[in-house]
Amino acid sequence: MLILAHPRTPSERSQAAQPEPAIPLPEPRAADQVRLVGGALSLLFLAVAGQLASLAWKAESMVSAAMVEPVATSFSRPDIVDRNGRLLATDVEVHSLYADPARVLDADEAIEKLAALLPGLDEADLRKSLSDGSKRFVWVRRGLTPKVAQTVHDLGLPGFGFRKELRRAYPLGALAGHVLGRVDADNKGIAGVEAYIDEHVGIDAVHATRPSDRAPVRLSIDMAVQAGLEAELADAMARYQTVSAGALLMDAKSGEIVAAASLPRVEPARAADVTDQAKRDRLQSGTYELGSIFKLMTIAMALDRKQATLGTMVDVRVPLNVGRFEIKDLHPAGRPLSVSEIFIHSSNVGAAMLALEAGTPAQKEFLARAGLVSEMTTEAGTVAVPRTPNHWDRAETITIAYGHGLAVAPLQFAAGAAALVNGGMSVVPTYLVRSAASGAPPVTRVISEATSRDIRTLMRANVTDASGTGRRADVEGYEVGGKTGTADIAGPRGYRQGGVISSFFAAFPMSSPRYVALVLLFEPKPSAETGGKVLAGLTAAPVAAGIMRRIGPLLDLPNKSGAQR
Amino acid sequence: MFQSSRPLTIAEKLVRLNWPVLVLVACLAAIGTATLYSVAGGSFEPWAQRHAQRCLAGLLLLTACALVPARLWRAAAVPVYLMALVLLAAVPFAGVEAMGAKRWLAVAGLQIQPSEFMKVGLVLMLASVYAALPPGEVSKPRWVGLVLALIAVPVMLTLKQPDLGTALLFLGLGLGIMFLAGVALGYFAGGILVTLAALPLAASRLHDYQRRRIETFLDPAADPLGSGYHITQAKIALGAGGWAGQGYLNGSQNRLDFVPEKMTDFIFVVIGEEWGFLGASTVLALFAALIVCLFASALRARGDTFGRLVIGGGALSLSIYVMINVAMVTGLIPVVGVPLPLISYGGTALMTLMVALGIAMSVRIHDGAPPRI
Repeated sequence: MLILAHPRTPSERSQAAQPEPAIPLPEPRAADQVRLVGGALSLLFLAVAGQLASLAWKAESMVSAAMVEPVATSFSRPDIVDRNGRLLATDVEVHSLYADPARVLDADEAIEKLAALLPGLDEADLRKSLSDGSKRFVWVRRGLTPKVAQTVHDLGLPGFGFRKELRRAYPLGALAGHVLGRVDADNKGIAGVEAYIDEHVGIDAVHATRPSDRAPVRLSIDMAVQAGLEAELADAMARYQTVSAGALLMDAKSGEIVAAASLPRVEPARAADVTDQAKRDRLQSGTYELGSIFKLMTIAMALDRKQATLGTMVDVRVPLNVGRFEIKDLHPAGRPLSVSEIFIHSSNVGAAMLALEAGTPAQKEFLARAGLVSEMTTEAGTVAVPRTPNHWDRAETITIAYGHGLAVAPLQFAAGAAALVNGGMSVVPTYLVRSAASGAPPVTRVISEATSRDIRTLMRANVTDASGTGRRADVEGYEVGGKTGTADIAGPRGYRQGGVISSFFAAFPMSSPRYVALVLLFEPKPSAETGGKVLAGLTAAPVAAGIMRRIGPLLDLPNKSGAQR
Repeated sequence: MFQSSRPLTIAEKLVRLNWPVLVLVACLAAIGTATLYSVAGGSFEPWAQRHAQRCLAGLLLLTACALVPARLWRAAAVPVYLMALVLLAAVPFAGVEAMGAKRWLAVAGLQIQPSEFMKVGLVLMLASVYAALPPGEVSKPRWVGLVLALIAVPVMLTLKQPDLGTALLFLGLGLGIMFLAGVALGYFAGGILVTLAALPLAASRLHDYQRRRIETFLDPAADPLGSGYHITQAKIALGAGGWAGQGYLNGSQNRLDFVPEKMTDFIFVVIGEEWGFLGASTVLALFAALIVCLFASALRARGDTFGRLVIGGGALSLSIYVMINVAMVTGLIPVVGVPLPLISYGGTALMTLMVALGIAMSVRIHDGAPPRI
């Protein structure tokens, strides 16, 4: 037989018998070929080792990405509770159905059976995904309830499986929806307090559906007060057929927001709700010219500068022209008015004359001190930045005096106005309970104690006086004081005819206010009940009374003896 | 071939077993078992225990094959090749379809994969053809043509299944044996040129999933949850392993089911994540050592063309498997479904490898050298 010899070491040669003689190929050939193959393989091994080394080298930069993104099945978030510890948001374990198309035996049968159990299943889309045998992972439906998941499981469809995920649940549905915000599909906060939690409290990437070990985030919101306020606002929206409505109740000193609602409400669990412009949070994410409630600022400025006292007489009969427009009062008094009367009768001319006397620089300075022209943030996000006039001179000073020409978010106004009644100290609004640990934020003096006392007197008189614009806001036992505002809505082509924002800013009990409240009705329609008018005294003021009557008993007030329960 | 005075006794044969190869195979099988234990989340069920049992059975099968006289293996070459060919040809008609491909035959209640027979059959067949050829003739066109035909038939039949990975293995194995047999280099150079010229045509005839695998390989990020999922997750896991690994039983990617097919084709990723670069390169080094042992054994196959090519063929198929698998999971080449020998879970391929190694040992045991004591 023919044999390929191969080179031998001398010792081998001495051992081995001589092979048969036919050696047509040079001896080293066979060995060379084996060595060539071996060399080629060595290079390949080195290439793989090199690739492994480069993956390992990149490890440091890749690990973090790997840990945050695909490794974690989800993020676990701390619960959110109200100020009394009642649950507003929590993580629940859900079952998400996926398919491995390569292992699905009968796609048509599977789709038919699943469609019967999962309403809204896009059958065409799923059929397309399942027919692609190279894909090994396709989501079919995420977030199934245990019961539905069990039913799907019992179908025994090959190629389908479940992965457990954490999903944020809001047991109270839309309650305080704007405040709570929203999370994305990976359970990361992207709006409201949920986004605040991501940035300031912390969430944990979890490798299993493990609930968070973190202490719950305690909001200043009181669930019961919030529910009452939302119900009253919903009634008001129906009664006055408003486009939307907003209200908030805030601790006059600490700035803790006990209830805040903007209607229409949003459900945090529904992404479509949260992104719907018609359902945006009017308290915080929009700025508005708020009208006459701004006279609180003008008169507080005049009193605090000591340019006037409550009794100082102002001649409001002098015609006041801004360009080709003449500023007029709704019901001209035809006589000089005291500062008190300017407030109670809500005289535009009077407020404008007080502002003119102080001058533009003083007005700017005062509004800055009251925090109405600077940026503000709360735990629910950034407050819409105030829109100040580009050119701020005599004309603007006049209009801003009665609430036009400077647009602020209602929440920011409420915080500024709270300082006018609480003894004169600035207020930082918050949606969290102020604890000893978190401490109180630094506050500054906005107006003097004496001016604050005067403002409280005026606000109370506006409700008790038979001719006061706020008389319909009185609630027996709560010593309510307040100021109305009926602001024309500025549109792209000037002020819209008939469209107004009707507002009421209230504080109670007026002798030493614990709470301030702000109620806004956007574009109420006139009705027989309001005598065909949309004035705030006829709309926002009674709504504010309704809210206070409903939630008053729930609040911690020093003396509720006379309260209607 | 020189003749020894008497047949070897069993004991003598056992002494002449290639013990370094046996030890390396046992080491790799043990690593496979340990990794499968980790893949199951620290449990012998469902994979590790069966893998260990199969490896033990495989080592016994290897030894049994090694004890069979080499001449019997040589005599079996043509029948085994033809039988494998018939079975392969029968698959399209009588095969069982699984995962979109027909690769299996059900015979008497057993599922068999004819391509596994062909892996052994092809090596035996080509080795015996070259052993029978006069050495000066190996590069004659008609013999080259015959051998190419012997390779092409199983390649075409396997492509029909479709099973691109195995077809490529047959092709690589066949060409490798031709090279080892000393076919003139000119043929290989010409073959490469023809292949390059034919690439565009081949590309147009690829199955959709094959084309997607190639596109995915070029840009896995394009569809990270779809066809790019395997590669992306495997790379993340290897990256997460870093130099020293996340620790045994602690690979988070693996633990969390992010790495697909982790008990079979992607098991190397588990090793890489849990033991890091050091562990992965140790496994590579063990494979390299095993391959070196086999090639060294081929070099020592004293002028016996059949023996040299059978051992070389076994070493080549092991090398091709290892290279394709590790290159695939590290993202160097597109995903082709090829297990990592001895470590991946799965019975058929393991047994085939054991048989091939057994035959390789047999030809060395029975190469006629005097018994060593």
